[in-house]
Amino acid sequence: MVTVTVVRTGGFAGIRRQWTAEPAEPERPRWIALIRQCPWDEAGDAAQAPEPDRFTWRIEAQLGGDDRRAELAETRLNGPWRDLVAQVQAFDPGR
Amino acid sequence: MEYGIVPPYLLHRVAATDKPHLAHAARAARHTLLAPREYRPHRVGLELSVDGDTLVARTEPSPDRTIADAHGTQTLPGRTVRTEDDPPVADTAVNQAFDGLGGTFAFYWEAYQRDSIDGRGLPLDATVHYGQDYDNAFWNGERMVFGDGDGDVFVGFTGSLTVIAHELTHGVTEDSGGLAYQGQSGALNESVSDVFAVLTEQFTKDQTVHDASWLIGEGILAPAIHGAALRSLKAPGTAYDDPVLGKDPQPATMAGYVQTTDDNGGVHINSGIPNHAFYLAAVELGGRAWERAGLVWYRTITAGTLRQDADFEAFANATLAAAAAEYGEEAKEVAAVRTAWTSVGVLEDGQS
Repeated sequence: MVTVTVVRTGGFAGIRRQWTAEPAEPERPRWIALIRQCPWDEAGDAAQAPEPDRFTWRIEAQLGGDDRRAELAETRLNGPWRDLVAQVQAFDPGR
Repeated sequence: MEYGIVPPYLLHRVAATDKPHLAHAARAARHTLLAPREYRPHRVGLELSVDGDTLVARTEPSPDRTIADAHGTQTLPGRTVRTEDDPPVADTAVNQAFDGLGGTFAFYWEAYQRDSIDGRGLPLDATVHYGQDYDNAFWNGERMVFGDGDGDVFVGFTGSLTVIAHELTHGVTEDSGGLAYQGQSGALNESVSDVFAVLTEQFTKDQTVHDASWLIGEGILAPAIHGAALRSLKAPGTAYDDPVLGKDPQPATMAGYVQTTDDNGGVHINSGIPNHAFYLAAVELGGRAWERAGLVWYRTITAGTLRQDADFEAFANATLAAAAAEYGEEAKEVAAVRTAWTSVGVLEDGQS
């Protein structure tokens, strides 16, 4: 079982959007690789003052017993994080 | 409002004149020449008129706008596509951004004699067409940045003057000492931007408190979305109610205060409470909201005494102090502001 949930809050609009991916069995190795390439342990670092009206992102991955969670300012959503979010959004049109 | 830009050589000639009947114009020209220079020349408009046989010259600050186009990338600033003296271009987003910056500049100058974001003629820079399907607009401390929206929920962010004025007001707040963007002080930061955003629109349309919509972001939601706008100062929680977006989550009073870690502690949610307090004070005073309620809020944020971590109660007390300083302790303005904060549950009855 692999589930990735992405929650975007803030932005000028302040509207919460959420996307979830639950890939089927054959797709899971690719997703697990995507998840593992994100720097989860570093996500909480660099406590800089938030910029007004930028998005904040909450990303949660469930890999059986290996659950991960990160909160990121928009300016830090780069590289593998951006790839993972794009994949989740492509999986789920969102609500 | 349009002002002609007078070249320096002409100002020098006017400044140097010894004709007694041009003394006022000469003084104005000298004042203009003495105005502090930024890293680029500070633009000033000179309005000339004739009163009898006297040439009257008045200097007015004027905006110095530069609009750039990121062409769908997230690289700032992008390529410059329109500067202050250029005529409108074919791209509507560019012209809307240009006009919105000008409208906000005119509001701050004409309502509060504030010359741009920093009060010292800061050039106003903006970038349009930022990112792909980018659902946001923001002020990054140096410039305004506008996405085009995804087309399904948002249809671009340059179309509403309230968006532009909201963002530039973040710059005003920051320049005035700032409100930390977290929890209650963050919600106040958001609220101040919403308050001056609706005031900019009301000033531009010359609306009274009863004519005004009190909405933020009218016209930026796609037609299929069930909602008039993003936020309402008049009735927080009613701006939209949509199957995709859900319902506007803003509370109007402290009874509905939302505890959350999302969105820096719900800064775009709990701003509904101080927003509604402003609305109530403005409606109680009637007329044009920027003249009295707006002035009290403007004095509050620019006094230099508001702490960065002010909570709702501290801010409410600061507005009362500002109202008393401006109008006197017994003035109806003070009473209206106190009643407003009491009505939303931030101050208790009898508290000063």
